[in-house]
This record gives sequence, structure tokens and C-alpha cells, in this order.
Amino acid sequence: MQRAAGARVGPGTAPRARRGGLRWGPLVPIAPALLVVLVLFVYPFAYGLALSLHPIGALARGGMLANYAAFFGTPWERASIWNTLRLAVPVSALDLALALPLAYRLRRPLPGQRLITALLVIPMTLGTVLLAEGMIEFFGPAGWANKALLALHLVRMPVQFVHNYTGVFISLAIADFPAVFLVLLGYASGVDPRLEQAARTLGAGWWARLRRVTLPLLAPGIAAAAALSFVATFSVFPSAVLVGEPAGSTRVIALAAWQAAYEQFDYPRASAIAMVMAAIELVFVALVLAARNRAYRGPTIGGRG
Amino acid sequence: MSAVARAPRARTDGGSSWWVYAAVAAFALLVAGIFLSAFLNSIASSWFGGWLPDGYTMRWYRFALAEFNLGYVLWVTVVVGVSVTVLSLILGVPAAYVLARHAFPGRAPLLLLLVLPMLVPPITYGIPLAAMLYAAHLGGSLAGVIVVNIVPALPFAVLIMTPFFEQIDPNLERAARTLGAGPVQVFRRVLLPIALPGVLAAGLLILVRAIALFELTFLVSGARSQTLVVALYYTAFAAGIRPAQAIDAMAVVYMVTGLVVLLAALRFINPVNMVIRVRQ
Amino acid sequence: MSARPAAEPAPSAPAPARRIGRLEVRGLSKRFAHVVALSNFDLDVQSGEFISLLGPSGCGKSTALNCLAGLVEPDAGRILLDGEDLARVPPERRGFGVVFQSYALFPHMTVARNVAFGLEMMGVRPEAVAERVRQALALVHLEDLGDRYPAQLSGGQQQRVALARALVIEPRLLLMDEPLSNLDAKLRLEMRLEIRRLHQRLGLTTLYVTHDQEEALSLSDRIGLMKDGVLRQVGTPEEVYLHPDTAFVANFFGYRNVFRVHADAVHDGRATVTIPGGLRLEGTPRSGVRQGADAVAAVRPEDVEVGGPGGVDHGIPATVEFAEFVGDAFECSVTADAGVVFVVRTPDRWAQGARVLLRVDPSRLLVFPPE
Repeated sequence: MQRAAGARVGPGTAPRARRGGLRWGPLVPIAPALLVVLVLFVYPFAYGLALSLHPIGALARGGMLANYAAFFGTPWERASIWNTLRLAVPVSALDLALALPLAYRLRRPLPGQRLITALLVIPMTLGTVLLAEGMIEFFGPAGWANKALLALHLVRMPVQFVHNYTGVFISLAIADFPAVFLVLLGYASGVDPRLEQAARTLGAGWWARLRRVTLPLLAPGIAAAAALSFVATFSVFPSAVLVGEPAGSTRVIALAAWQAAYEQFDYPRASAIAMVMAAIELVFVALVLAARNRAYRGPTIGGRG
Repeated sequence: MSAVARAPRARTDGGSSWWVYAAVAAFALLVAGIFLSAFLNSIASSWFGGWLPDGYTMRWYRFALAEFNLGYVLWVTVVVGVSVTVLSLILGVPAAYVLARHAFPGRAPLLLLLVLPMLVPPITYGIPLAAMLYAAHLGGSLAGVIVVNIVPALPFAVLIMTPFFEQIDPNLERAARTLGAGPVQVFRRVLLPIALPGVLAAGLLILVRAIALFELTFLVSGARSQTLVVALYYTAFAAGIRPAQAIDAMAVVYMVTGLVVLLAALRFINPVNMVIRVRQ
Repeated sequence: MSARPAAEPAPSAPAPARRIGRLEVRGLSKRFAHVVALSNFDLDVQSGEFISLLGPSGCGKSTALNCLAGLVEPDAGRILLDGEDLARVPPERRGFGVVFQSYALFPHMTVARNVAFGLEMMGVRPEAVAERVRQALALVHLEDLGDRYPAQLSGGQQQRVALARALVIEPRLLLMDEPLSNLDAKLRLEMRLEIRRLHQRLGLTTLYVTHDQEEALSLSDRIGLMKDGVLRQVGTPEEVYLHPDTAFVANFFGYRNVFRVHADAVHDGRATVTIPGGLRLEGTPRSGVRQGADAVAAVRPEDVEVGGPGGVDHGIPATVEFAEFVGDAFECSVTADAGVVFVVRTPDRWAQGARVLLRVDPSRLLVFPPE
């Protein structure tokens, strides 16, 4: 939500009782939400963590960390991390690279702006399955994509776009783009245009402006979008199955967890794999935030009292 | 869309925005191509590899309606979606208000905690949560599906509504208090009317997301409580047995549901304002 | 001819300001959608001159400044700097210093880096940059705040950083867009003095945009009054203050008594006018007033003499409605028997309801053509 320029509204001072100390009364409305999160999230999460440390079956003799050891010790299981990273990082990078210039330009009015923004956001409603089914049709050997390529003589044989890494890559890139775009658009609109004008009057050409003013000010947005995108793509599951090679190059870590749970009924191992996923995601988010803090400090509105 | 008083535009800039249109057109074409392939397939009597189907029919939709119990599944989806939205708003709006208005020790960690469910894969807490619900005899039921989906929806509600409340001038409430209004009246007569449009808009966005929530419903639902997205996945996964056209039909129904809600949301919100900027 | 000043190592004394010869603006026009922001704007600025553009909001003064800075492309007109047409020159190569109303300080850079920015763009060597930044900050009395971020400064300090940032590049022309409007009254006065001092010391050609007539009067060599995109009168402060050309300008400078009148007679530098209601006055016509036509008459509160029934021998009978003490005088609202209301300024305290006689000096009642 855009803040009106100059309206510095935000959390006021803490509610203080007459005799000093904190009044907890006004904070009560947050309690139900907090309770729900504690009961339905924190507790199950902790339970899942505990579960992962109590291996069952053949691994039971291996001690508390047996599930993790087994996961990292088995090459084909371990590979699922790499398979997922191989998808999540390039897709996130690509979507960021594509969305950033668009979001940046679209923060200023343009004819048809609302239509354009709507078009870029509508893929959110597609859903993994429609996207997958559509891709199988569209990118299949007899689909329009190959037909067009053949008709233009760009290829001599139909290209295999689906049921491999490429299929999942395309599917993720499309599905992930709207969210990344929206986050960047929100941040880009919060950057004071006067700052760039000031930079111009001080002699900065477009490259200098980009490097010294625009990108540093967009750093928080880029960081947020990168974190969001990675978390979403790293959890990829249905599309890896539907348009990928779930037994091979696109055996993603979410799939490994699911198989442990619903094919081998080994819930502790499934939890362990899920914890590994969570850990990787949180590490990535932490890295992104650390990088952002080095690039930038302060609000994005130009200094004004 | 008319530009009434356009802000001064800097020189040698924006003159060449053709690339925006080109990029958007390319993207839209790709997405449209993918969608249309599935859509045409869903209304095709047969399609043997030409540019267009050989004939058209609506029988796949009828098939999906009967075979996949599409009507019932749609009903389940709507009930789950709306319930999850309403509940996350009931929980999240007061929380967002408190976070927006008061700075207190532990505010930042608390915000992080409320948002955390969005940052970790649902499987991490989904399996134990599903086990808990089954133990409480809620497994496989509509109520169970609703409860489980609140967990990822609530953070979303908080993230959208907090900046929204920050933007409302706190002096309005103070003015009402000086005029003698108690907290309940302030809420009913001042806050609610101002916040309502934003709450509704946020609700629409949450609904769009709620319809798409997959993993948790997948873990908890039973035959009578599958939402559209989960039912769709099951039919697609067992694709060998089902005709692809019927799956496509179902998938199109799914998309149209989401699209209708999204377009409704876009009418009330400018996408530029749709975003959550987490405070530094 | 390059539009950018070349980089130089800094001398130990403040570098002399680069002088432009002459700035000529001809026929500048700009419209935004259906709004005419600027219409046929003509102005000549001499080297070292301090010119203010003064007018109410929406009069086009900021648009004119933005056109000069190159941030807005005019629809028509030319800007010539020493004969060189600036139409082809983008803002980054004009070498003008701009101080924005909102300061536009880079929030992610320290004060020192903000000030250094323009020098770095020019390619000045780092040692020279550091020295010049130090001098610029000293010039605005902010020597110790180089390492702070803009958000940590007060409004007045931020304004001074914005000034330093524009000055350090030794601009050919300094453009200031209502720089003081966000400051409180006391700070505004202080900064006004600072700006005046800096102008005397550096001699930079300056174009200053404001809606505050006091600022314009105290700072400027010449003032240009604008309304609805048009430049109405240009002159020295004394000229526009004492001899406004139009009712609009007069009103701006404190001629608070403004009446629609009928010009009964106009000749020999005197005009006789009638205010509807029957009141007849003698005044001094400005050009464009025609006998027998409608006109506008205006007089300052301090130019209306107020006397008791016995004090002056003739005058307009009136009753005092209320009186305000404003420190050095009383401002009273006085209603003439004919129904016309005057605002007058008098050293005497008059009771509410007191009967008085008003006398208006004909040389101070100015008569203008209707707008």
C-alpha cells in the first residue's frame, strides 16, 4: 500500500500507563492471531522437528540424526537438493531480471497501464495444473510452439520442451513472475522521482543514475522479491511431476519428502527432509537480507524533515 | 484511461517505452497460447495435431461435471475459500491494527513470527498438523481443510492490512476519543467505515490465494472435502485413466474461478497499491 | 561549446563562481493535458543577478524553473545561454545547480556523499572532492555533519545540505524552487539571510521561485510576478512594490483594499472613480485605464488616514467595526457610510463603533484596468 508522500504515519509510541510501564490492554487484539500461529504452526513445526529426530524402521538404530544422515548420505536423495536449486535460483534470477525493468518503468503512468499490469498479473490465477496441461499441449510435438518453430524453419524437428527440466523451468518462471513483479512494482512506486531528477541536475547520466541512485533505493524491494521468489520456487512440487521428470533430473526435494511420507509411510524421514528444505530457505532469506543491508540504509523518500 | 494532469516528464526518457509493450505482448502471447491450447482441447471433440481442433463439443465439461463431481467440488472450494478468507480477516485485521498503531518491545519478532508460515514450506508443519487434526477427528473433513489453510492465509492478511492501517491517520481516532467515543464506538463509527474498502479488497486478494492453496489441503482432505485445486491434481496425476480433455475442462473451470475473483479485486485496487512493503 | 564546466583541482580559497553572460528565455510555453501551465514566458537574466519568480500556486513559476533545468520539455520557446540554445542539452549537461522544494537528498548516502555526488559525476579527483565538500559544508555551517544521513537531520539542516550540494559544483546558474516553504517562520528568516549572504559572497546568477512576497522583496535584484502561466510584471523590488502595473500585483504586495470601480474621468495623471455605493475617490491611474470604463482601484491600509470628526477637516465618514493590535500599529476594519469596507492601519486605538473620517491620498490610490 502506497504511503502518501510526506505522510509519516506509522506505529505511534508505545501505550504507556500513567505510572510508567507498558499497558498491555491495547495489544490484546493481536492475541487470537498469535494463538492460532502458536497452536497451528509453531507447535506442529516443533513437533515435526522432534519427529525428524526419532527415526523409525531400519534407521532407528542410527541415533537421532539418522534421518538426516540417511538423506545426505544417499547420493540420489542428496541430489534432490541440487535438482531443486538448479531450478529455483535461475528461475528467480530470470524473473527478477525481467520484472525489474518492467516494474520500474510502470511506476510512472503509461497509456494502458492498468491493462498491462492486469495482463502481467493474471497468470496468478492459472494454477499449476492448467499451466501444466496447457504446456503439454502448447509445447508438445504437435503443439503450436513447435508448429511455429517448424514453419519459420528455426528448427528441423520438434523440440522437446516438456517432461524435462525445460518444462519445469518454463512453468515456474511463468507462475512466479506475477508475484515478483507486484512486489517490485510496489517498491518502485515508493521511490521519490525527485531523487532521480536531482541526480540528473548533478550531472548523472542514465548508467550513473541507475548504479548510484535507483538500484540502491530499490535494494529492499529486490531483496524482498528475491526471497519471496526463492521460497516459492524452492518448494516446487506439482509441476515437477506434471511437466518434468520426477524420477530423474527434476526430482525435487519436495517430492522426496512427499515420497517418504506417502509411499514409504516414513513420517520422521519426511519431516527430516522438510526441515532440510526449511533450513535452506531460511538460510537463503538470511543471506539476501544481509546483502541488502550492505547496499542500503534508510527510507526511500528523499530527505525531508 | 486518460491522463488528466500528467506529472512533468523528464527529457529523453520514456520516449522509447515500446519495449514495455513488446515485452508484455510477448508474455501475454505465451500465456495465452498455453491457456488456449488447454482451453481449445477442452472443447474439442477431437484434435489430431492440426493447428486447430477438428470439431467442437461441450461434452467434456459435462463429463467433468459428472465424473469428477465438479459441482460439489466447486461448492467445497467456494466454502473453503470464503471461510478461510473470513477467518483470516477476523484474526488478521485486529492484529494488523495493533502492529500498525503501537510500537512495543518485541514488535519486530512478533511480526516475523506471524509472517513465518509464509516463508517455510508447508510440508514442514503440514504433516504434523495433519496428524493433529486426524487425532482430533477433523481429518478429511471440511472443517479440517479450513483450519489447516488458515495458517498460510493469516500471514498474508496481516502483511496486506498492516501498511493499510499505518496509512490511516491516527488523529482521526484521537479526535473521536476527545469527542467522547469509547473504544467500541471508535471502531464502529470511525475505523470500520474507513477500513472497510481496504478490508474487502484485501479479502479478495486472500481469496485468490486461498483458492490456490494446495499442499495443506492435499495433506488433510478426504474424498468429501477436496478443493478444486487438489481434485484437479489427483485427476491429472492419474492421467492415464482420464481423458486429457476432461482434465483440461476441469482446469479451465478452476482458472475461471480464480480469474473472476482476481478481476473483481483488480477493479478495486490498483496493482501498484497491491503490494506489501515490509517496514524496515 | 561544452555545456559542462571542466573539473579543476580546488584552490584553497572558495573558487570564483562561473559567470554566465546572459540567459535569454523567449516564448516558453507548456501545457499539461488541458491546463496551460506556462504561456509565452520571456525573461532576460544578467550575470550575477538574483531574480525571483513570485506568484500564487499554479501560476507557472515552478514549470518555468523545471523548463530551465531541463526536467520538463517546453512545448514551444527557446532558452539561450550566452547565445547557445539549450534545447539539445539534457539536464545532466547543463551545469545548473538545482535546489528542490523537498530537498531531494539521497537518503541512502551520507551528507558528505550527497554533496560529493555532483563532483564525482564531473570526474573530479577524490582528494579534490573531499576538499571541496569540506568547503561547501563550511559555507553552510554544517562542517561536523558530514557523516550523518539525511533522515538524522532537521529540516533546516537538510535544506542547507541541498544548498551545499547545488553550490559545490560551481553552477553557472542556481535554480531554487521554494526552498524555504517547508521551514518554520524563524528558520525561514535565518535561511533567507544565509541565502542573501551566499549570493553576495559567491555572486551566482540565481533564479528563485517563491510564493512569499517578503522573501522575494528581500532577496531579489528583480522580481517577476506570474499568474496563470503568464509573466505580469518584472521589475526591481521598489518598482513592483511602489508601482504595481496591475491589480493582481498590487494585491500581492499588500494593497488590501481592492475595489471594482467606474472610471468617471481620466486625465493629467489623475483619475476620478466611483465605487458602487456612491463613494467617489481621486486616484492615480496606471496605463490601460480608460475614461468611462470599468476599472479596479486599490490602496494600502497604511495609506488611508484615519482621523476623528474634528481632527481632519474633510473625509469619508465611517464607523470602526473592529480593531486588531498587530504590534506596531492597529489594523481596523472600517465601514464607510456608503457601505464600502476599508482595512486601515493606524497608530491610534479606536473603540468599536467610533465615528471617524477617512482620507485617501490620491497618489497612493492606484487605479488599474480590469483583469
